[in-house]
Amino acid sequence: MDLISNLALGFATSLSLYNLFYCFIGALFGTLIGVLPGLGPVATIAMLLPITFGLEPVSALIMLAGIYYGAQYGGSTTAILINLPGESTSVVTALDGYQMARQGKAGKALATAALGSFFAGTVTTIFIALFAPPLANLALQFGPPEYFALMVLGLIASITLASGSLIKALAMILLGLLLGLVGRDVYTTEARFTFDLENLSDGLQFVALAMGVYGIGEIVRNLETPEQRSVAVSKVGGLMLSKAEFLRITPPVLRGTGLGAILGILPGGGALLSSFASYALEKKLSRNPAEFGRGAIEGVAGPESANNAGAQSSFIPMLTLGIPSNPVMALMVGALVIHGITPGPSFVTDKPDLFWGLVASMWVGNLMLVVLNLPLIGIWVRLLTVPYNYLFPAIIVFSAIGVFSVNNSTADVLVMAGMGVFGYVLYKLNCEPAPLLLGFILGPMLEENLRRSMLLFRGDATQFLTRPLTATLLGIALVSLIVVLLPNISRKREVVFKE
Amino acid sequence: MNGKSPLKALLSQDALSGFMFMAFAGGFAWLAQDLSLGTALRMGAGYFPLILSALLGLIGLFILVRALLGDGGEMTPFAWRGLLLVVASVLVFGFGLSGLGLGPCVAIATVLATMASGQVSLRMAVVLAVVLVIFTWAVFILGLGLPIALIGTWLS
Repeated sequence: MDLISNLALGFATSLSLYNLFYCFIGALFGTLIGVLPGLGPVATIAMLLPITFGLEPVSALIMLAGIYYGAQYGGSTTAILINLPGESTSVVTALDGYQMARQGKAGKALATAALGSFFAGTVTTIFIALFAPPLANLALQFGPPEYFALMVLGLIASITLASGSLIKALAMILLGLLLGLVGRDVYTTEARFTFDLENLSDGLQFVALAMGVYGIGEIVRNLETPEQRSVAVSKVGGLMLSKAEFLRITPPVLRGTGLGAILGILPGGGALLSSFASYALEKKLSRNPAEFGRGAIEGVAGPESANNAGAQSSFIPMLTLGIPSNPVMALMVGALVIHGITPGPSFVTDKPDLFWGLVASMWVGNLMLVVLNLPLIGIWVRLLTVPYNYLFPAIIVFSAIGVFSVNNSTADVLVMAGMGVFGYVLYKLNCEPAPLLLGFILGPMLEENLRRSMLLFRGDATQFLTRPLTATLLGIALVSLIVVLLPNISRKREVVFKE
Repeated sequence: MNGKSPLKALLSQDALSGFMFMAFAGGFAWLAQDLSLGTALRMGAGYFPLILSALLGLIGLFILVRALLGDGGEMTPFAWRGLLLVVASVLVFGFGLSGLGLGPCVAIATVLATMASGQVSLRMAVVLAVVLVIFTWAVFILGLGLPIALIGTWLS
């Protein structure tokens, strides 16, 4: 009965007309900005953060949840319609979603994304309500060694999902970890790799890095083959899915939801890892994997559900431990602190109305999106009628202003320019950027937990192997690394990815 | 070598990736020299970066050697014009947003960017620039209240 009464408290909070209104405004603005090409959830939330400052903590949190889901859905829309993922979680959606759009099935892809996300959101809301409190207790017993092992496993798992060469993906992770360490070291306060530039002492901005590599690099890449990009999709097609299509998307949605809900809890998991994992899983399970990359509806349904489920369940470590597992959650922690709340183990018991209100508003935000976006798809689709030659200057302008707005820093814009060049070079060298970004986010956390572990172990690294849980996690990581790097398997795998 | 010339193998995608990773590894390791190393028990600022650099350097070398022995993937030509103009239009914001202000930045960046494709007439570029100046002013200054002036300090 605890669950019911808790959720009742949450819905009583979030369903007040006042809070419902803020949730609606958040979802609307989140989608509006998130749908602009080149602006992903991180930039959208960062830009809209200031408008929540004057509100009560509960309303502010609920509005932020609305913005978050709106931005997320907006990113998927851009990925599907013009193959420009606003941020890394939509990269996978773009693979098949954009192909569907080119075949005149954009409406179906968008409807699949919306329905899959809504289903995943509903299930994950219940999942959080059921498991957040007990999981928090369990996770509270994890020490730095367990966190370190979990992150290593997460990183290794992520390279098995990257397309292209595995060994290069491994190198990209390491490079990402190193780039993540740029800035002032929290333990010794030494400035690392900053070239004595004051602007770099807080590290490279994730938004600038991601937008440079994905946004700017992608534009240059598209300019290589101008004619190809000007193929505008004129027919969006109907939104309604046929019964056969509905049956086709059901298993991927279910699997994606499950995968996302679980992977989202892991540090470093969340939407990114979930969507990649789901895509790989669906491709593996599919009876005709050759269809993937050419407009398979399962390739939209699975990752979109997984990414929403993961995005939502990544709230669990943030709310119960205060550990952000991805940049969006890092922003959320910042927002909470501004409103005088420090997320941590006592959050659930100390502020039950806030905690359960937020959980309930996640569901309300998801519902809002389906109600808001399916009728408005026509407006988002208009973006397609603008030729790319006119669209990309606008994307550059929005990206530059967006990156600036995160910290009001022109230095971040310069970082984005540099990362744009870097992203294009990576494309020319056939290096997949996703592992780099994952490494970048986890770099500082990985180092911190390694340092704490070594203090705990009195400098004896072999203790990683004598603790059962860390030994198991690291063992799985090592085995999967070896298996995947074995020459004949990796060759087979490359064939599978290329086809 | 598959009968290819050594130079071609050296300039393959994978070989150049190997060089890039090794260069990054070397660069980070070299910069980490100035940082405190510490001990395994109490790691200094340079400890973890050095481990990572060493691993990255080894993997980079492996990628290079593998590329020289097998097929490293052929490089395709760079889109120099697009790259330079797109990056230049971003740099306009990076260097000019406070001095020039939002309006001139958006206008200059838009015109530069349209030149990147080489398929937009100057007239249309100017039209697009005007539209974007008005739109960004309405959304970012009027709507979201970002702390940017429409006309910057250099011009007023």
